[in-house]
Amino acid sequence: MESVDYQNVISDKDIRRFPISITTTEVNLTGSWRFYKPVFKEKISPCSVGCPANTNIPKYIHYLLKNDMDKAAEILRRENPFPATCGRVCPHFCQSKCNRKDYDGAVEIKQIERFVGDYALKVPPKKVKVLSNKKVAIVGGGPAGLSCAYFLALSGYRVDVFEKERFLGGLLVYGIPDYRLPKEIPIKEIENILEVGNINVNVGVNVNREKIEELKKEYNAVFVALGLSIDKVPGDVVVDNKRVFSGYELLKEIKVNGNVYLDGDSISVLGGGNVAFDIARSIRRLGKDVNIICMETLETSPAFEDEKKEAIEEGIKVIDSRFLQDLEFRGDGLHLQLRGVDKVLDNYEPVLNDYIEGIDTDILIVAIGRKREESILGTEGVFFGGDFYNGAKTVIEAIASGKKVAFEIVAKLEGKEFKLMNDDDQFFRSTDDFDEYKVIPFERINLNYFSEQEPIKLSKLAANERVNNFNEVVQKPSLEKILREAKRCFSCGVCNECKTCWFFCPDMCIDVHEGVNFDYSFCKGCGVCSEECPRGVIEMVEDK
Amino acid sequence: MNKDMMLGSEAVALGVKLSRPKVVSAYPITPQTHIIERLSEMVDSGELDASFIRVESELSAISAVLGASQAGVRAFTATSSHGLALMHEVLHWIAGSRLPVVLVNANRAIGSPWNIWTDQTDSMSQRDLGWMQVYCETAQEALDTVLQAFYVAEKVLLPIMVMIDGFILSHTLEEVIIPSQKQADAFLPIYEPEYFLDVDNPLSFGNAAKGDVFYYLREDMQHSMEASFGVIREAHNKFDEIFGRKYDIVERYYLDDAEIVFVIAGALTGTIRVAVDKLRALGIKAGLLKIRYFRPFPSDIVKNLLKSKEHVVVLNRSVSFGSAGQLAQEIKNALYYEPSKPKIYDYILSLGGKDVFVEDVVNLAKNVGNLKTSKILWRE
Amino acid sequence: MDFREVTNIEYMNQGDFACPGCGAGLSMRHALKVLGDNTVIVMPASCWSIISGVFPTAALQVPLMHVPFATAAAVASGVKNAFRKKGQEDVNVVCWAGDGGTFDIGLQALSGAAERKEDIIYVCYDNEAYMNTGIQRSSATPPGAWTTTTPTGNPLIYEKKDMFNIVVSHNPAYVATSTIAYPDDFYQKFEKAKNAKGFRFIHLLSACPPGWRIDSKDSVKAMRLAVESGVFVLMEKEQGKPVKVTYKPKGLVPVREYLLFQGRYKHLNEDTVNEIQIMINEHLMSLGLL
Ligand SMILES: Cc1cc2nc3c(=O)[nH]c(=O)nc-3n(C[C@H](O)[C@H](O)[C@H](O)COP(=O)(O)OP(=O)(O)OC[C@H]3O[C@@H](n4cnc5c(N)ncnc54)[C@H](O)[C@@H]3O)c2cc1C
Ligand SMILES: Cc1ncc(C[n+]2csc(CCOP(=O)(O)OP(=O)(O)O)c2C)c(N)n1
Ligand code: SF4
Ligand code: SF4
Ligand code: SF4
Ligand code: SF4
Ligand SMILES: [Mg+2]
Repeated sequence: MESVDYQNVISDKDIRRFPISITTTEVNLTGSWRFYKPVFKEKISPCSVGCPANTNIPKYIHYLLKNDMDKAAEILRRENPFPATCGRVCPHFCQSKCNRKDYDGAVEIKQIERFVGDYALKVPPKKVKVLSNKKVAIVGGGPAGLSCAYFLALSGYRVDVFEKERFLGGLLVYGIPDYRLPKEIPIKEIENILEVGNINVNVGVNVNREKIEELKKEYNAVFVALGLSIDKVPGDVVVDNKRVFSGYELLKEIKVNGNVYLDGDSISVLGGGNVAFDIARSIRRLGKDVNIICMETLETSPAFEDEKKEAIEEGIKVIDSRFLQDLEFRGDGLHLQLRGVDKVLDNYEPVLNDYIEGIDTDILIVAIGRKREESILGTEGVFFGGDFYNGAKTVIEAIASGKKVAFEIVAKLEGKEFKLMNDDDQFFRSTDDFDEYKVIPFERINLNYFSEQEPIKLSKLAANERVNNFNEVVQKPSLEKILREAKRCFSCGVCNECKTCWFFCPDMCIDVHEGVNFDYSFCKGCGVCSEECPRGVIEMVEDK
Repeated sequence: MNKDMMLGSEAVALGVKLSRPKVVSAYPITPQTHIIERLSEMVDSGELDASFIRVESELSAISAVLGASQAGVRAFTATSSHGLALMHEVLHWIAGSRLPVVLVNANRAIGSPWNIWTDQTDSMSQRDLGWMQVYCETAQEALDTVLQAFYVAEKVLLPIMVMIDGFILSHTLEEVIIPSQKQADAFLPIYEPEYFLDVDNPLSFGNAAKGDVFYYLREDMQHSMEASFGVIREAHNKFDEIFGRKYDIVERYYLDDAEIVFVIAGALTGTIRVAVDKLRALGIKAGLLKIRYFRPFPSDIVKNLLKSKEHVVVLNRSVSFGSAGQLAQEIKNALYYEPSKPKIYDYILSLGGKDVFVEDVVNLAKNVGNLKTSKILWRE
Repeated sequence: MDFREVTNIEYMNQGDFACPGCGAGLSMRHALKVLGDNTVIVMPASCWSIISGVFPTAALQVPLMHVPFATAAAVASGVKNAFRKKGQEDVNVVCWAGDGGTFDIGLQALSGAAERKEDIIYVCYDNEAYMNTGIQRSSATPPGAWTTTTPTGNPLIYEKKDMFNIVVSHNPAYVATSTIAYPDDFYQKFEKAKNAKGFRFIHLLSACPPGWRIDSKDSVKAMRLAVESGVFVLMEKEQGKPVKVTYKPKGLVPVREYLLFQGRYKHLNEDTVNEIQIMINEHLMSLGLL
């Protein structure tokens, strides 16, 4: 705060002659008037709670808006080493919790994350020195295993990763099709993870129960995240890899080789989840006629809405509310007998009706789910995580579980107790970049500082531009669009240096710079700053 | 030498013009109007390079002058009677602000009932403000006093009120020697205040002061008043040097050997001079003490001039009701500590323009042995 | 408004004597940010006489003169004319007066200065009562409001004096109402006033926590609700142009919400609140806002 240099032209004698004020009121320390004082307490945004990895979304958005991309990337990667991947494939649980949702539509966090994540691809994280001679073995190089490795490496532990395939990445690299997630993205992110150092990779190692027992002896801790490796298949169906295929295996082949040979032009996919839609859309891209047969109605089938919509746009036919009752080999093809389904119960059992229909198809691809290799589960004294432990979930949940286990391991190795922020909650952040565990509800947002504005729309390749290739469907949004969207964020509970408090402090007691500093010598404790902060960052606490 | 016949008001306007104020603000009231009409003409014609602010009341006139003076320029206003009363609060403020404003008051009675004629109630009611007060007898004196007033005020840093009697001075044609601008400039230096509203040296003027400092500020006003006699004499000497006209704080007329002394201020002095002449012709040793400066009151001078006199008849033209004539109070006050002092008569000579005839004054002197000193004397 | 773009230069010193949460202090702080250091302030008796600090200290970094209660506009006229004569025509001469010093005792001087088209900026920070003397009613006190001289509430027939139109009727260079709760509006209007020449008048609604009997933290909120409920309409009139409402509340908040969160209105019963609502509606209709 600047103040004038009072000229020294007036003597003591003068002020006995003239009623002239020559010094500043700064001699009055008005802070002594105060009963309450403002304190800076950053809190938790609901989107952060929604995000299984508890990413500090408003914080990285803040740095994005400040044009400090390095910092934005750093903050994002503090909680999630796969932001470019998640920015593409994550269902964005955060958005469903966004405070803006019922105001004018949730912030398109996904697009923002993708944007920052893509930037982060080019900035490898800093190397970290080994700080401990304790070692951890990680089995399974999917997102769960690699996240665990990443956070352990960041904490200064040595990690050995054991992966069955010849490459790391799990479903990111051999599952999710390129038109949604070009494989270069996770591959680059994995490279960046390895840049941290301390991680030793062993590929082509199929780990079984015995091997785990060995690892337990050799290592101070073992984390197992093998994903789901066994296909679920309807009772009387046999995967023969001629007429009947596993969707998962085909996806892997397509992802790794870019193509697969299928003898026939009309293909049916069994299943209503993302995998079914992914395999259907991939096969469609190879020039085949594809239909999807699922028990649920199209609306209630568990695949992401965008997937369904895009699949239909691409000419995939969905035969919904149908149960595969029978399958017959007829000549070079198959005849499928389908029963009508009234509804699907919670345990995935269909309630059938009398409707019967038969369809002919060249090939049937089964994609109704996978299960884990149970034999490994019983091993004592190891940590489990990812899909292997939680069932078929999502990339971000795999990451979150890997991260959480990493810190459980750290706590264990350091002889400390591992605690979540809140027992009811799964909240876990690797950093304490908040001052109070309090989630800012919509009511705490001072709406006077915002006006309604629609979220940005994604730009996608048109159906005809995408059906014959594996190019990414969702186009990279422009910087301008991303910034516009980022500005919509309320930044719930997280200071974005908006300076509203500074503006409204009648006593010039606020300095906003990487947070807020109060000048308690003069702050009268009025509380205006706290009331006006658009996002509930400042709290008034009793003083004296 | 340039001479002309003019009204007292015009002489004042001329004095103001020669003083080169930058801001003039005033509101019309009889009998001051001629002053501001004349000044308006001068400003409009460019004779006087000043802003004339045609305000909507005397309160605003004096306020505008307060502002102008605080902004660091020479400022002038003129008023009378009710107008002066309306200015009262700001008059205090100007004195407290130590601003050298010059105000000409055409003395006039204050109602009720309405009365536009002269007495000194209006200015006497303002005697405790911290303004200096000068009472003039002639048009020439009025002109000269305006020039002197700026000189003194700007050195003492207190405002000055110059009194001219309504009608008998303001509206009376007299011969006046007109000083040249060159002379005036040689007499009155350019006004360069030390402290004023200055964006390059931002100071606050008039912030609330607690008793301890307020006391000092007021004490200094009194010191300045006391010290101002030296400045007034300096002004009179310099004035004499440049213009060849002598002025004093008080004026004596047949005073040295007088046994009966009349004390008066203002334009009725002329009438008393004639009465003194008549009395001397009759062999009565009458004399006259004219008070020019009523504030600061020249107590020492008055004391020395009057202590050995026998009769002092104070010719008041105002009353402090329930007490005495204000002029008489001062005279008594000045002589209080003298072991032998004259008999002092507190005579209310005229209010609201009541006619004063030379004969009345002559008879008063003849009759002086019968006058009482114990209470205010009113005319029959 | 992006507060990050507001200048960091302060023209007010800390340690002033405004009550916690005072709207008058806050308004001055920002007014000076717009007006800058080529400004002098003329200040009649008001809370600001105290806020500005005790001799020999000063809360302002621009020249300031205190003046008697009724005289602000006239003093400012004198100041401006003096500056003009000194060749400093460009100095902003600003009256900073309360509602008492504007609506009531200073109205005559204000009218005189406006009519003479004096080249000054007159700012009235309206806290709707004589606060400095302990919350007495002024002609800016709204109907129904409690003050120490309206202990049972200001009679409803005492409609708040329409200063905006009173000043407009003098046809000055610029007239506006504003409040610091609307920073864009406030900054734009001060900017306009600063750049115009002639008589300029800004009427600022200015919350007073003790006088309005509200929590100090709610002071900005109170000013905002006054606008959102249509109690105080943000408008302006540039010379030669029609009156313009500069902010239209999105959805009018019922006046009840504005009134009943303030202690000074808490004695009001339902009927009185409704009557006040009707008065406001009529005013809004006359402005074409309803
Ligand atoms: C087609 C498809 C599309 C999907 N789309 C999405 C999507 O859009 N969004 C989303 O969030 N999620 C999606 N998922 C789910 C997501 O991919 C998984 O939840 C996530 O990959 C689970 O991670 P993980 O590390 O637990 O397991 P995995 O990714 O399966 O990784 C397990 C790793 O362990 C290795 N492994 C297995 N067995 C052994 C062994 N015996 N020894 C050594 N290594 C072994 C595997 O080779 C693999 O590398 C999709 C899944 C599929 C199949
Ligand atoms: C001539 C005169 N009368 C009364 C007062 C006492 N007085 C000082 S400030 C004030 C009220 C000021 O009210 P307002 O102008 O609304 O300013 P606020 O104090 O509310 O900020 C009063 C009545 C005074 N100073 N001068
Ligand atoms: S507005 Fe921003 S911080 Fe708040 S929940 Fe939505 S994305 Fe998160
Ligand atoms: S008002 Fe803005 S700058 Fe101040 S604490 Fe809140 S978010 Fe941070
Ligand atoms: S607004 Fe300023 S004075 Fe009021 S509590 Fe906040 S920091 Fe303190
Ligand atoms: S009484 Fe009201 S206007 Fe006066 S200083 Fe206190 S809050 Fe401000
Ligand atoms: Mg007020």
